[in-house]
Amino acid sequence: MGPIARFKRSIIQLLAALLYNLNFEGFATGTIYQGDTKGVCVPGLNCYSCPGAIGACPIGSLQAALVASDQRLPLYIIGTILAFGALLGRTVCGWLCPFGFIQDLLDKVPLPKIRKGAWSRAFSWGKYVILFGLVIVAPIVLLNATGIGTPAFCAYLCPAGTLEAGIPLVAMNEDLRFMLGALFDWKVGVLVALLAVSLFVYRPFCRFFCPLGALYSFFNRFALLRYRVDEEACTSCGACLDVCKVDIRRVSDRECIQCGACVTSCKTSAIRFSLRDMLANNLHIDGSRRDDAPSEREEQRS
Amino acid sequence: MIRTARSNAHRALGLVLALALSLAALAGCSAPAAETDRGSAGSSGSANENGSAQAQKKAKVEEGVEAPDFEFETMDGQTAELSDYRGKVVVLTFWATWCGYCMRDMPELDKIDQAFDSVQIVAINRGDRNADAQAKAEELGYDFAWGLDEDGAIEALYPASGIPYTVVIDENGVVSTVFAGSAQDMYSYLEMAVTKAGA
Repeated sequence: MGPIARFKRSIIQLLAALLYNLNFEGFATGTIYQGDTKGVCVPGLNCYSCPGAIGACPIGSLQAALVASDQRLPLYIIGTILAFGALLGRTVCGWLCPFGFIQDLLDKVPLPKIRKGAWSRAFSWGKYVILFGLVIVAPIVLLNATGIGTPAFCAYLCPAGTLEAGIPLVAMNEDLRFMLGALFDWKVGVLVALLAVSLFVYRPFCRFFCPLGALYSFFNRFALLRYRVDEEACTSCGACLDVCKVDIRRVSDRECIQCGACVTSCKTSAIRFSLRDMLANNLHIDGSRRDDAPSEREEQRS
Repeated sequence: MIRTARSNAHRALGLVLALALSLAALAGCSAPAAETDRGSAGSSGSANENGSAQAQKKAKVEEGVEAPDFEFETMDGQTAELSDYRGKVVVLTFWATWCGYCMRDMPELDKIDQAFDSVQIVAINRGDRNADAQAKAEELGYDFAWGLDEDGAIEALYPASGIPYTVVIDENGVVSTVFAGSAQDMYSYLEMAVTKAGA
């Protein structure tokens, strides 16, 4: 991806982080926003309890709904996640997630980087384990065992929650501090460890731990807004796989975070964002070429 | 400027986000009013810039401050006031039937109530319909001063980011300790707090 395009993605990531957290006064007072928009999920991993948050976290909401709902399936939250997935897939990860953004920034620090390999491809399964184990099963098990449906991912793992919510709230609101104990120490430890690892490994949380990324990954191959490979132009040279920092086997597969770093590596310009093609009227919505699309020669000239 | 296809996509995405940002910024401007729009007379109107207008209208509930007095509806339709319990150490707690940690606190509160003669538990419901709150109070059967707050007037005086929210008030009506939550061994914290308040 060219430097200007990379900068634009960073700007959008920053805008998204600000958009999710417009309640700036919450940081000053150590309280959370309680208006009506908190009933709407933001697409990225942004803690409901972040003092600035004006929306809800999809993963937090999913856990809460699983143990609170009288219905068998929490339809509203599942529908919301389906909608984000179908529209964006893991474009959320690459463009609209504040915690992804923080890891991107840490990656810019000039330290030796540990490249991907078989080890990282293996660890990439971790996020599905966490999705199934901590987000879906654990709250239900805990509800039956203790009478309280603890959102296990939020409570025991989520570093985004610790960074955005736990630490700011505890710093500003002394009435919370009596509860601090081993669990808080553990959560802060997890956060510090992940931030430290992010200096040497690209986006470790997104690749190995994030249950939201795991959910969106199911949609990544067919989301409306994502990078696509023009199979006619692709020569299978593998340049995109080489330059990619996560563990894709193909562009836009379940590991792809839609960051676009592969685009400039392609010598035949086969990798394009789906929106561009639709706007330029070259492709139908399903990726097939329109009959009235200009020929490739004309395209290269324009 | 050469409009590459890629920058078209980015421009469109940026436009959409800018639009959404502007809309949300408008929503965000009214954020401070949201906390008190559930019925507290008059304090929701002018708080537009930030929370400071709201803060001037009522003092933050913290140690050393006089606990705001209020009238509440009891479970059998009578009314009572917080100040009725002056002379006792009041453990004022806000709870809901769907709040797991509030329900976990209930037996602990009862134990404190039994252990200290001069302690009075005032348990005001927050976030339930009256019928549900009444049913739960009857089911639990504890000898608390149960109260209802369906219109949120009391919540406006004791705002909190969540429940359980417990305020320990000394015999003179002054706030002694505030617990913004519940811990595993809540009894020991309550015991320390009521002792500190003079029970």
